[in-house]
Amino acid sequence: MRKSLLPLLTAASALGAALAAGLIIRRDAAGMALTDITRFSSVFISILLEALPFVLLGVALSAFLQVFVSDRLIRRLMPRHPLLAVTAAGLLGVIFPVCECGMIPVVRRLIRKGMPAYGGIVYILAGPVVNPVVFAATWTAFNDTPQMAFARVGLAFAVAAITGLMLWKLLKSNPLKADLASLYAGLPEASSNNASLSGGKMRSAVLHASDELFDMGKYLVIGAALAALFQTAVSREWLEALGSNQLLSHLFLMGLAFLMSLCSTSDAFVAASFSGSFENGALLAFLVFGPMIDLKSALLLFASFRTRVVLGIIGLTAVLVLTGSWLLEAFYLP
Amino acid sequence: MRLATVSPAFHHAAKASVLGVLGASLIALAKSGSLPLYVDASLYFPVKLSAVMLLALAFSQLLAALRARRSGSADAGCDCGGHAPPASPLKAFCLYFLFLLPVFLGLISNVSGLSEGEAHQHGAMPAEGKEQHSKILLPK
Repeated sequence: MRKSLLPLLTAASALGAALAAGLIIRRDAAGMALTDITRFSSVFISILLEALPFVLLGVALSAFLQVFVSDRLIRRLMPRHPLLAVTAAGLLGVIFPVCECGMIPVVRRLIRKGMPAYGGIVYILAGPVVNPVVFAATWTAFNDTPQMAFARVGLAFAVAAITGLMLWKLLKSNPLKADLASLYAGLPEASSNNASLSGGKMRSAVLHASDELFDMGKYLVIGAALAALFQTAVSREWLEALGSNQLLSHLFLMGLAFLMSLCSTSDAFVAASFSGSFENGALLAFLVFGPMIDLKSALLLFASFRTRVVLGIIGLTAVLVLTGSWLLEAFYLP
Repeated sequence: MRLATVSPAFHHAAKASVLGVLGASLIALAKSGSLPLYVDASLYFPVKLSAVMLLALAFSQLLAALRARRSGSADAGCDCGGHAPPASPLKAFCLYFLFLLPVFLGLISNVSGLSEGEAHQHGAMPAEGKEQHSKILLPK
């Protein structure tokens, strides 16, 4: 199933992205002029430079967590009551802020070792947003509207908690795929031993940080290029027409967040660059849905969890984010 | 037919080179006074700090490359089991080139040549205070 689904999903996404690009890019036969390339470069580099400090902070914290904090400690701290477990998992990102890219392998390992599955999924959904690094990045990007930072964290926590509680009620069997032998390759005990043998944990943490930077940086570069292309080539009238339809603008930005697969530490800057064309509610949907479910994390989820469970999580998250962002736009956001 | 694979020492050396080039480019950007063309004033220090971090990571990758070359280690990634670098030369080239793309684009484009109005419109110049992000507008 996994082998047939992943290429299909990737091909469908690529086709969708190409189709969307073909529809939205409005260029005449003369092609792109040099000034267009300059504009593209300036926006592209600007987005990357603004994201870089936050991404580096994220990979440094992730490396620290990977090397110095054992899964056992996290599992021991996990409460047994479902409501408390969901709350704790939703807030785990405050203490252990890891990007979604590094989170899924950690969580499936934790579930395998006895952590409740619904708790792990709550951490996967909430962790990339409910953490201080992402809050600081959102605050910086939307410094004129600080409500965005609070709304983003609050909505992400609520969506993750509701999803977790529903999974607690509905999940009757292990949601992990059976074939997870590869999990044992990265057990923290083994890592610690290897680290101590090969010359110390600090060196291991630094290597992990740079590897993680390359691992998630590629998605950031592609996302920044797509965002820059979008800003350089797409007509503002077209976007304004789209932004005027509330439901369509929410759905469009959620789809865009899924396709762009931006890192949660940097997507606030991309979202802020769209603020002239979209309402805050639609931007909030972009900021909450993207880190929870995007192309790269969906692929990782399909590789780790049963297909039906992943489809359920994606559907439920989409509906809850759409509803929540619409309600917050109506009652809270300026 | 088995395709050629890239050695771990090459991966470490390539990563060191990419990180070094990125760090040095950031320092050059800051020294040339072009940083304000791209980021808000509140991010000058974090961006400069990022350059130092990139150079430190480059140094660690360089040491890892030397170690891998000396010991003939088969492991090019860290020991977490989740960061296997691409095995094929083409994939490895694409990955490392992707990270150098902003540097190449920065070299071939002339951002300072944009008029102030254009630069403001596209986020290439800092607007008043921190309003820069909302000033990134789309072309008509």
